Amino acid sequence: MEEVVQGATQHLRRGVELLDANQPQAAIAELDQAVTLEPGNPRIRYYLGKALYGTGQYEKALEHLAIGLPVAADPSAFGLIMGQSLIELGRLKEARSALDGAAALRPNYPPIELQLAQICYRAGNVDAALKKLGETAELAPQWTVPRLQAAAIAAEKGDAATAAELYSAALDINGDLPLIWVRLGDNLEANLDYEGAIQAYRSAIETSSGLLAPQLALAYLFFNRQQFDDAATVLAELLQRVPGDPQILLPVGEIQMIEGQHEAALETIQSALRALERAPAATLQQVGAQRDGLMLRALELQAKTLTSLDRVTEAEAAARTLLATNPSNLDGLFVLGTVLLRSGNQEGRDHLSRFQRLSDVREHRELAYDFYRRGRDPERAAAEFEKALAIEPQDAATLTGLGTVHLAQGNAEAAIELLAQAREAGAASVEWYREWVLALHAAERSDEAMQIWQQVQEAGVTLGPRVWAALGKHQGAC
Amino acid sequence: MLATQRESSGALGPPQWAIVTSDAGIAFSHEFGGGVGDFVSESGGSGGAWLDYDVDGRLDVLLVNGLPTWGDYSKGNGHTFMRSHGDRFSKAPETIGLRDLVWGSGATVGDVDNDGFPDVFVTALGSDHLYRNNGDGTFSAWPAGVEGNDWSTSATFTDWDGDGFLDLYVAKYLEFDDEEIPVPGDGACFYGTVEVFCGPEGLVGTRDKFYRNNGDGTFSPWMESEIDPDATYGFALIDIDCDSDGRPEIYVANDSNINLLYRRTRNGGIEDWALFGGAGYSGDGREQAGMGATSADYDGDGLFDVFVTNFQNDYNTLYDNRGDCNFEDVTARRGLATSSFPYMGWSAHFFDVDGDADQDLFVANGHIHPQFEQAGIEPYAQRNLLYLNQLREIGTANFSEVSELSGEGMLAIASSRGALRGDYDNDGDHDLLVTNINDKAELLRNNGPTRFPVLRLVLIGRSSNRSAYGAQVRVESGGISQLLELRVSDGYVGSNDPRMLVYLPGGTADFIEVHWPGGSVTQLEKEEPGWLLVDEVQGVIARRSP
Repeated sequence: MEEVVQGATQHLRRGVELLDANQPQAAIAELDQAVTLEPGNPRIRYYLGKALYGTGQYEKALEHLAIGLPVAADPSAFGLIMGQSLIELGRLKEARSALDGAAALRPNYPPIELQLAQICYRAGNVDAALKKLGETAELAPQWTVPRLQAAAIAAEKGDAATAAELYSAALDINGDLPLIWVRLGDNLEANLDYEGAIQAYRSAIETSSGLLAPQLALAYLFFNRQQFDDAATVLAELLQRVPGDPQILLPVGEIQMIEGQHEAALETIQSALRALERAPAATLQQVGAQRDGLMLRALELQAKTLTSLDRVTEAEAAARTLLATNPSNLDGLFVLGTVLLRSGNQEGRDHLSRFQRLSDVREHRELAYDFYRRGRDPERAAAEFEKALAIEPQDAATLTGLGTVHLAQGNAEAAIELLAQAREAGAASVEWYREWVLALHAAERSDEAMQIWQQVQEAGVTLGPRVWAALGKHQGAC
Repeated sequence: MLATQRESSGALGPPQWAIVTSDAGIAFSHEFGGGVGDFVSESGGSGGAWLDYDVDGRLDVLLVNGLPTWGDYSKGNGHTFMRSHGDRFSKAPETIGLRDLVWGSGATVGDVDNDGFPDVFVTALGSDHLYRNNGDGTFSAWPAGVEGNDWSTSATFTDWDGDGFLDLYVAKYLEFDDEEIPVPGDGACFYGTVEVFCGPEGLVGTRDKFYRNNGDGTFSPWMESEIDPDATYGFALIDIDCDSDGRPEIYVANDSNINLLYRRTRNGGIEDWALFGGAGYSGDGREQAGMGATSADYDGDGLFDVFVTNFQNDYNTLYDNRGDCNFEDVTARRGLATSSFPYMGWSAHFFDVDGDADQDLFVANGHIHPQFEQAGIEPYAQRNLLYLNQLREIGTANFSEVSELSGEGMLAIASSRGALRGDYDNDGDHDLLVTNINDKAELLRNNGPTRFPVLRLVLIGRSSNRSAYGAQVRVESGGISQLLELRVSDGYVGSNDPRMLVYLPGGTADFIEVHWPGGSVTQLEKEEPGWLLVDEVQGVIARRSP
């Protein structure tokens, strides 16, 4: 018996060491042996539960934790991990119960408070989540995690100013977080604080020891601000480190175009295309399949550069390639129309006319979203969407947008009709699914809403807090 | 018409520009709502016109004004008309008849009744006004049917039907109702994250208007169904013969819409060719802000090209004419893209700044949102841009930005809008009168040096319109051929010096050919530098040496 306990202890010790070394899978192997030898040991159950949680095996984690809990020396620790596992399984009310139990034993313990905030977020009560995260941050002034989570939620809400403040606060605690410096920079840039963004990206570079993202972010900031010399300098440094990376080559090519070096631009862009063609195919999202953004951008730039060089035959071919995948690709239509007319082929007029129509549609739609999201003026938004539909009645994105606005104004039936039309027109974006679920719920077709939500969940796509709150699946959890 | 011949120079650097506003006695302060920036109506500023109203050979100037407070027509200084006395100006008394209190946009000049005295059309947000030059030092309001009552911006007189009378095209912007449009603070309109005035996008545009001169002192609306059916936001325009048929087309630069290019159809109608002609969008298919426009044969290929100014964080666009009104965006290739991104462009002019027989380029800049400066993001007052064409230096018409090398006049920082091109001191080079929103206008004098001797051409139409607008002049000198077109309305809401300045690389004009709008041709040979007054029927009726 003593040998059995000693053996279990050794496996437990090794398991804990592996867990501390961030090797949960290896830890599980040790801890499985430990629990076989000493199934009644709550410490083994705890660490095994923790390791299983770390590898995403939440049900199994709960099983072991539930066995160990009654005899645990520190039930609050068990309650915390059980709560976390239940959150991941979407069982928010049970998670709340487990965490409340843990909190009763260990009040104001920041890791427990953090998970309670997480429950509020998953229940769709974003404001309550932010409030809870604020309280947690005050309980743990040296802990970055509550501030980082709050920042991410603020950014998701579109509140770049608050996100930047929170990221900044986290970095005051620990400045050695290069990717957080990048996020701070992104949010400062969104808030038009360009000098601040540059400093943030530079801090990211200093702390990053070799990561590409910070330098790329800085290069794109310079590029978007039309500070092309500065952008070119950063990109040149990046290319020395990672020659042939299309993420770097494409903005280099664009700068060359703007500076009138069209031959060099074409060479650069075609290098990027070759690199992209060699790369593994991009993973498609299972809901709202999307093309690889970089490949599309490269093809569009190639078509435009060939046009600038008056290589009309190649430009025509490039444009047709774009249109083969998406007949409404604006760059493809513009380039094809332009080069055909240059060659004296009057078919070019049809393509340019279509380009103009679709360009107008896009403009009205962008203006509509601007009125809706920033201006909070749904009436003007709707008017712009209607103008877009007057040009192209079957434009999926416009139908989705107008449906969104009608839903926001409480007109669920009109929203459903428009979103259904959008679906027929080919809508399959995450935005469309989000609005569709919300519209169905608003129209008291909650069963259908829930069904769609389940399908989307199973496809690995999240529809966000608005949907969670609307479906009320976790009412009472927060 | 005496003038001082400027010494030829071996091009020792770009000409130097001085600010001579006070020295010249120009006293004008623009009133346009005080710069609060609540409405889009407060953003466009105003322009004016150079004109020799008393035909004494010296340019006088009209500066168009707005009001100190939007909507209050009881107060304000009104337009200012300044008469020239040599190189100095004095303010004309109100009896001259041009001081109406309106929210003025700009002016265009043309001899509407062919009586030899230039008349003036003033555009406004509100009623436009046509003024007849009485020939006695005064103007009279002329209710000729062109008054409108909406938002007019730039306008041009052009003889569209070739009957010898100047017709009138007026660019219009949008329907403006200050009671319907939100203001900053209402949370309605943003640029980035900064709350700004609403518009133009989302507001209803107003259709441009074309008026036919009936030849009897009246105008009639013309081609109403064909002109601007989508009611675009018109800002600037030029008349330009882009298909080389001897008659000008009309190009309109629109804000946030596709630009327009009206040309004649074979059956005598009119069509918009901008989309198919490659001059509607940027070279990569984007609508741009389209605030100012100018034209010239910048590359010496005998075709008139177009340059349009655009918004900040975008480039001003150079459209190269490939023939028959088909254009290509060559901005980047010509070195004009990157330098313009930090600025918001308004009036622009092609003209020969350094007298080396090619067309250089000036752009007036200024932001429209004071809120951006208040937020510390982008400056409201900006410097202007001066580019020298390198066609004669390197054989390729690339542009080199030389503003910082060109003296104090090119370093002035203000929120500029109009720029009126004119040789106010008759010294043989074009100067610039820049209008600045809610600020004083500044007169910038070109102090040279210029490279070659200059020939000044003043044209008088007879069977053509008296102003000879639309005339094309080809001058050959020293093996170089230059083609110019007589137009005054390029830039932005302004009217420019109608006298043509041509620099002579060979020292003399070996050959001059004037194609009059009416179809006749005048040919001259071996003309010395100086002044030529050329009449469509009589030929040269006066010559003056420099």
